[in-house]
Order: sequence, then structure tokens, then C-alpha cells
Amino acid sequence: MRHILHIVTKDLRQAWPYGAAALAVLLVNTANFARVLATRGSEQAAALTVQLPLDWLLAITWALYYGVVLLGDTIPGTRQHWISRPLRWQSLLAAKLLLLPLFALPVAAAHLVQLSLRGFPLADHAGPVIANAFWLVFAGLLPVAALASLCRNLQQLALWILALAAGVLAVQQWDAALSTAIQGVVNDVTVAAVILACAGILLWQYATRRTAPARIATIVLALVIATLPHWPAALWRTFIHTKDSPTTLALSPPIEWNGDVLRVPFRTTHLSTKSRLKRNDWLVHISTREVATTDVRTVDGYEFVKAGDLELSTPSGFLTDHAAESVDVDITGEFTVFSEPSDQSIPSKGDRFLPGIGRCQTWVDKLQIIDCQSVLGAANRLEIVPLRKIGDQLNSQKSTAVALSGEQSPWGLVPQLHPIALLSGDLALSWSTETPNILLRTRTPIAHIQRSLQLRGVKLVDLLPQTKPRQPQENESSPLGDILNPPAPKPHSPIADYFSPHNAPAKAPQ
Amino acid sequence: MSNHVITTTNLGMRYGRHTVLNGLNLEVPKGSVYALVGSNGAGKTTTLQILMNLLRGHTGAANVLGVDSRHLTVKEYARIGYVSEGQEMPDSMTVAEFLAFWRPFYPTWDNAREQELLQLLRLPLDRKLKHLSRGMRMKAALISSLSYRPELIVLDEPFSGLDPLIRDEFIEGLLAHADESTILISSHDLAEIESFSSHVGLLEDGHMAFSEETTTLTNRFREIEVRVELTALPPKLPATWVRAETASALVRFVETQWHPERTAQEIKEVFPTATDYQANAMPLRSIFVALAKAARKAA
Repeated sequence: MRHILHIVTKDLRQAWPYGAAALAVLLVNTANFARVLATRGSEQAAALTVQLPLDWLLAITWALYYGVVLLGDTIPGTRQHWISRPLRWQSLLAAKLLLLPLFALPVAAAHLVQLSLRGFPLADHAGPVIANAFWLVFAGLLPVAALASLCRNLQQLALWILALAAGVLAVQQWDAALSTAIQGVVNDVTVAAVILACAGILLWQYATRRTAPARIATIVLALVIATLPHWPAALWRTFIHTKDSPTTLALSPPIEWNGDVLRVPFRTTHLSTKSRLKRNDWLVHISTREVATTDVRTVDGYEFVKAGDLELSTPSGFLTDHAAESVDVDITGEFTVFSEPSDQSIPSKGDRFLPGIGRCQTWVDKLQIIDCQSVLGAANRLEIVPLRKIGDQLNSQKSTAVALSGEQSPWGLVPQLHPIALLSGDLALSWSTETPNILLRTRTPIAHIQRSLQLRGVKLVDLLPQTKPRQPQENESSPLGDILNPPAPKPHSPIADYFSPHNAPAKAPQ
Repeated sequence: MSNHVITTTNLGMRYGRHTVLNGLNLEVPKGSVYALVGSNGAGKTTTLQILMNLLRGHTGAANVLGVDSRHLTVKEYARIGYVSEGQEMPDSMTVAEFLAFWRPFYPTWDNAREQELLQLLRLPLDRKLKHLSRGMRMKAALISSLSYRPELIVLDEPFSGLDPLIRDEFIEGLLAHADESTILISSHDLAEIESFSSHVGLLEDGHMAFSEETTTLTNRFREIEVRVELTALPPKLPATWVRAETASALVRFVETQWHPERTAQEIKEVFPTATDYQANAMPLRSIFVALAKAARKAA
């Protein structure tokens, strides 16, 4: 351990200019991000403009810093001053990896500052935020470490990174990946494969210094991992699509029923024009019209896309299993099936939401999983659910059920990294003139979110003026209950400006 | 442990189709200063790198300090000082930082010896390695490899590209503080090696042409000049004579097994009309040039 710390000290001392640059960029990035969250209008737009380049610069400077540290004791070759010395490869590798938690500390500090600025109590959120920072640094820099172990200098490292990135992008362009509810699994597998591959390369190189085979293995592994997202689609086409497989249809309450037409928002990836499906004990005959192209229609002010080509898949992570409760409705006769909207402004996996970005200024029809991996880790999951009417009543019970049926990545390999930025983004969602309401569900206590985002009261007053809030039961922990029974609003908040009359829903649902 | 610090047995190594080492047998006696010489591409650096476990030989075995070179551990490395030509150094470190970095890794590090070497080699402690000349960098590497009193010092072409003054200082530093060590040194600089090597081995085409004590080697080689009137050299000459040539009543050759009486007798038998002959001692450089040319001619 003494030797490991000795190497760490040496590395930090030798690469301090790069470390200083990385810390400076982190500071600037944090300051700008705080400006993004705190401002509006043109000032915010200006801050947003530089945010992306700053993010890239941040990643590059930290990768450069770590690369310099690693290349201080290069692995390939036979002329390094250290390789014929009494220095164990395990100690050297441990010293290099020990830097990762050290690097994560300033990142975590920056995130904690962000969290604090947004009003989150640090005592409640420091743990997830720090864990998230460690994860980000680990997952981001481990590939750099693996590639650096194959290179003799920074130029080689840069070339390797660029070449591999180009190769992976080329492979990913080769075929569109199947976007399904298992996408989360695929992502988990991909991330796990990347980490395992990087760890394997690192161990192999430090233990054996057999660079040529390690380089070949790296290229092969990178290309194989890049194709991972395509495997489900390939398997689907090869083994499933050719069979007469039962159609899977996700029925998503709320359902609109006016006696003649049952409107069932749904999503499917494989549905023929005449399908028979059994779902939640419903035996449903679905008849859809032959429509060659996507048909957009407006119903009750909501824009739906009717998919005639029902092999449509949407990029958003749709819940396929959340309509578990029975619905006492006689479904007979002809009805119309609505697909999910294909509006690209609907948030999708990987999006990062910031107020004012405008990506979410549209309605959200049903439960959406916004599975972002973004800046901080204050919240683990954010789900946005419209509380729509069923019949003439707000079916809060059903909506709550929907909200609680969040799709979890089954293996949980990828932490759900939802930042305060994302929680700010739900404000952008709530500007929508067509969104009746949203429901936030996070592992963050809802009161904290409300306090932070100034949600309390505002939406309820604006959106449900005629509805008497349901009184929560004792010990009820429903997030909906928290929204319906918010504490008193703060006197003023700049975020509350988002709910100015021209942005608020023009008319509350009756 | 045997009396040899290093032994190799039928060591073979190839790069692709090119064979670099072909059944090399090397023995470096304990306490010796062993000079491994040979022409470019003879396999000197490859041999040393295999001994240091930087490369793996394809055949045969190498033993260093009683351990298979493929299984050298930090325990053995702490007893070995290795300095090679063109060694990659941590350029951003100063000399002081460089020495300070390695100090904790060697239990036998001797600060007094380090200071002596620094004074002897006149190395600026506060200068970064990247700002040092090639010779100064070699000195820094040498100090870092001698300060812990290694049992074995392996030097790969240490004099290459050094000016004479630096070279002298380097050798002085080496000899002054390596009295208890075994030194294996590969070099082209035969003149320098001759002055301090106790053993010498010639590596040729991947195998050891010969390996013996330096004094024995220089004692058995003589350049012979025979005064005799000849129109042509006799077709058959003793096998121990190489590079025989004649010009203006003078025959010149190299006797590889010099013995005053025996050689005189052979001269008398081959050149009955010879009036006189002279035997001149040869420096290592001349010996190897003669051998190399003879080998080329034979080939």
C-alpha cells in the first residue's frame, strides 16, 4: 500500500497542470450550469449554448488528465525505466485505479453545489450524488484507462479513441436498433460489457504487457459491443417475426370511452391488421384500418398518431405491463386504437431536460419513462404521467396505479442517474398548454421536489380548479397524494414564472 | 547457487522469420565484468531483454540470480540494476524526484552512495530529465541503479552516443561503486570495454562465437609478421591462422592460439626460408575485426 500511495503521489505531482486545467473546466462548467438553472430567456439561452461545449471540454480535459497520468508509466514497449524495477504490476494498476475515486471527489463536490443551489437538502441527497459522481467518473474513465494501457503516448491514445469512436459509430449506423421495452436490458448489458471488457484489457495488459494481442482484442471487443443493441432486432427478425406470434399490446389507462368509441392508447411493435389478443383477461378483437402511412389526428385537443403500419416502434420506453388492474368495461364492437404519438419532442431515453429547452412543450399522453443519465444523482427516476379524465371523473386511483408501475431496468446495472437538471426539466413539461398535469415520481421525497421546484399548489390550482383534492389517507405515501396536498407555496420563485398564464393550460379539463 | 550469476541454455529467439538468437549459451561468472560484444543485429539487446524478462525467448532457458528469467519477481529486481540505451525516462521529473521516487522500492538503498555518485557524476539535482543531455540521462539512470548496491548490473549499450568525457565519468562511476557486483555489459565500444572487462563473449549470428576471460583472449591472439620471399601463400595453412596475406617479402596473419614455441615451430614448417618473424599483441578491437573478416570470408 505504501508503494501504491507513493505512485499516486508521484502521478498527481507530475500531472498537476492537467489536473488544474480539469478542475478549472469543472468549475466553469458548474458555474455555467448554475446559470442555466437560475436564469431565463436570452440569458439562459446563452448559457445553454455554451453548456454542451463545456460538457465536452470537461470530458476531454478529465480524459486527458487521466491519460497523462496513465501514460506516465506506459505499458507497451521494453524500454520503460520502471519495468525492470521492483515494482509490482498490481501496485501500478492499483495506483492508477485509485485515482478514479480521487477524481470523483471534485465532481461530486460540484454536483453537491448544484444540488444545494437548487434547494435540495444535502443531508438527504449527498449519498446518491456522491455515488453517482463516482459512477460517472468510473464509467467514463475506465475506457480511457484501458486504451491508455495500449498506447505509448498521448497521440496514440487520441488516435485510438477517435478510431474506436468512428468504428463504433459506423457499426451503429449499420442498422437501427430495435427500440423496445427491453432496451433498458440491452443498455445494461452493453454498459456491463464495456466495463468488463475494459477491466479485462487493463488486467491483461498490466499483467502480461502483450500489447499486440491486446490491441486486436480491443478492436474486436469494441465492434462486438457496438453491435449489442442490434442483437435483439436481429433475433426478433430471425426467430420471432417469422412466426405467428401473439401480438403484445400494452393497454394504458386512462382509457376514453364515450359509448361508441373506446380510445385505448397503446403501443405495439407487431400487430397485424386483424389481431386477437389477450391481455389482463381482456379478450379483444382489434380491427384497424389499412393505413399505409402514419395518420395524425386530433382528438379533444390531443394529437394522436394513428399507426396504420403497426410495426411501428417508438423510441420512448413504454410500459408494457402497467395496466394490471382490471377495468370494468365491456369491450365489444368496433373501437379505435391510438398509438403513441410519434412527436419527437416527447422526451425519450437519454434526453436531458432543462427549463427553456422546449423539447417537452407538448402533451404527454401517457406514462413516459424518462430514463436520462445526466448530471447528478439526486433522484433515481422521474416519471411523468398525465392525469386524464376517465369518463367525467378524475380517476386518481388509476392514475396513481399507473404512476407506481414504473418500468425498472430488470438487472439494475445502470443506475438511474437523474439530476436536478432533470427535475428542473419537468417544469418545462409543465409549461405545456396541453398537459393537464404531471406527476413526478422519484425516490426523492416529493416534498423536497416540490420545495425545490416550486410546484406546490400552482399546478393544482391551474389545472384542477373544479376538483376537490382527495384527502390522503393516514400513512399514505402516494406521490399523487403529496401533490394533491402540498404545503403552502413560497412567496416567490423564478421557476414559478414558468407557470405564467400564457404558458399554463388554457382550459382545465372538465 | 552456482558460481554463475547468469546462465542461458540453448536460448532461441526470433522475430517473425528472422532468427535473432540461435541456441545461445552464456555464462556470466559471479563478480565478473562480462562484456557481450557483437556486430549490429547480433542479438545483444535481445539477450539482455530476455534476461530481464522484458522479452520471452522462444526456446531454451535463461537463469538470472538463480531464478528462471521468466519468473523474476520484485525480490530479484531489487538486486538487479538495469540501464539501457534509449531508456524511456519520466521526463517531467527532476533528477531529485526521480531518485526520490525509486528510493522506497529498494530496501538496500544507500543514501551515502547516492550522494557519492551524484558528486562523482556531477548531476544537477534540480534539473528535469527532459532537459538533460543523453549522457546526463544515462548518468541519472546509472545512479538510480547503483545506489542500492545491486548484485547484478546489466548495461545495454551504455556508451552509445556518449562523448569521451562523459563516457569516462560513466565508467569511473560504474567501477568505483560496483566492486561487489557482477556486471554484464553489451557494447560496441571495444576499446573502452577492454580497459575494465574481465570476461568477454562474442555474439555472432545469434550464438556465442567464444566466451572467455579477457586476458586469456588477448594472450592467445597475436598478429604475426614473417619475413619471407614468396610468390604465393601455401595452399594449406594451420587452422589457427586467420587472415593470412602476403606483400613484398612479408607474410602477415593472425594467430588465434598463440604459443611462443608452438607457433615458432609452425612458422618454421610452413615457411622454411623465413628469416625472421615478429609477434605483436592485439587489442580487442583488432581481434574482433580480424575474426569478423575471417568469418565473412569463410562465409
